[in-house]
Amino acid sequence: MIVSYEIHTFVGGEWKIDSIFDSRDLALSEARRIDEGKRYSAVRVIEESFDEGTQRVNSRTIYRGSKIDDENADALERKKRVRTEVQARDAKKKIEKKQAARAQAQKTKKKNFQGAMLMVFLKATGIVIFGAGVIIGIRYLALHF
Amino acid sequence: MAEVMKLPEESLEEAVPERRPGKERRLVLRLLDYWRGITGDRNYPSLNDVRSDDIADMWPFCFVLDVSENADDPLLRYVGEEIIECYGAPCVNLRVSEIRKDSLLDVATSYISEIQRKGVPISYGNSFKSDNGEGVLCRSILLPLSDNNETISLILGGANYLKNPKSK
Repeated sequence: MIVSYEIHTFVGGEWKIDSIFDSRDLALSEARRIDEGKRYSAVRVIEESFDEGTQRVNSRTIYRGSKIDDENADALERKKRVRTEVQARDAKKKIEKKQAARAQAQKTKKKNFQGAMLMVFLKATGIVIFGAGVIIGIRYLALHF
Repeated sequence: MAEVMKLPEESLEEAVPERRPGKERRLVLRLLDYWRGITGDRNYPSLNDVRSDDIADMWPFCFVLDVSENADDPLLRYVGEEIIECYGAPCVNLRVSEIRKDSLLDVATSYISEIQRKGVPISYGNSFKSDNGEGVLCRSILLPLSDNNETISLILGGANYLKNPKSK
């Protein structure tokens, strides 16, 4: 098994190989030193293992600069904040919608009640007029026949 | 020749992965740091940027390979006195193919093609048996240099070693 350690730095929006070591300790020491400097926004160490038997290469990241962690943490925090804001906005909208629906329902209910009352009034008026008409009609018939 | 060379044992690769406070002592990392400094925002520094006075303590452990004429078989343009002492014979102006096998220069120049292919500093550790059968542990680094910031024309190398590592 042949193992090498590649230090990658983030330059101009992409990862570039910075240097190569066969020693994990040297690679990590150098990566930490780079990370302490201000030249690169991010640094990582990739361990590459070449299996001569299977002719396969396995790569894994064994170090990420603290700046990456910081940036990831910031991004995560920003994401969380945005999600909370969106959820709060959604909840507010939902409540407003509910309140509007309730107000609308009350309005409709009131309107329906007024309509029903009007109908009752009209019906009662109709009955009274009809009754008075019947009484006047009967009296008229009784006087003339 | 001294059994243990002038650089302390800590200068070779160490098992301690934590970054140690204070000044870095390991030759390859110090040389790499110097190379980064003279590179600045460019891809590669040129040989003119390398000032031996600035790296006076490391310069005897350095060598410069010229790959401009024959990339497959570079020429040793400069070899530091500590490297020459370890080699045991004059080696300036030797081609890599002429370097004696199982020597510090042999192992330190064994990955020239890789640095030319990848164009980035590379550091490897190695071991070999010297003429008198002594085991020698060494660590080297190759750093690309360029006259036009694009093509690697020279390679700055640095190497240190420890004899009889098991006896320590």
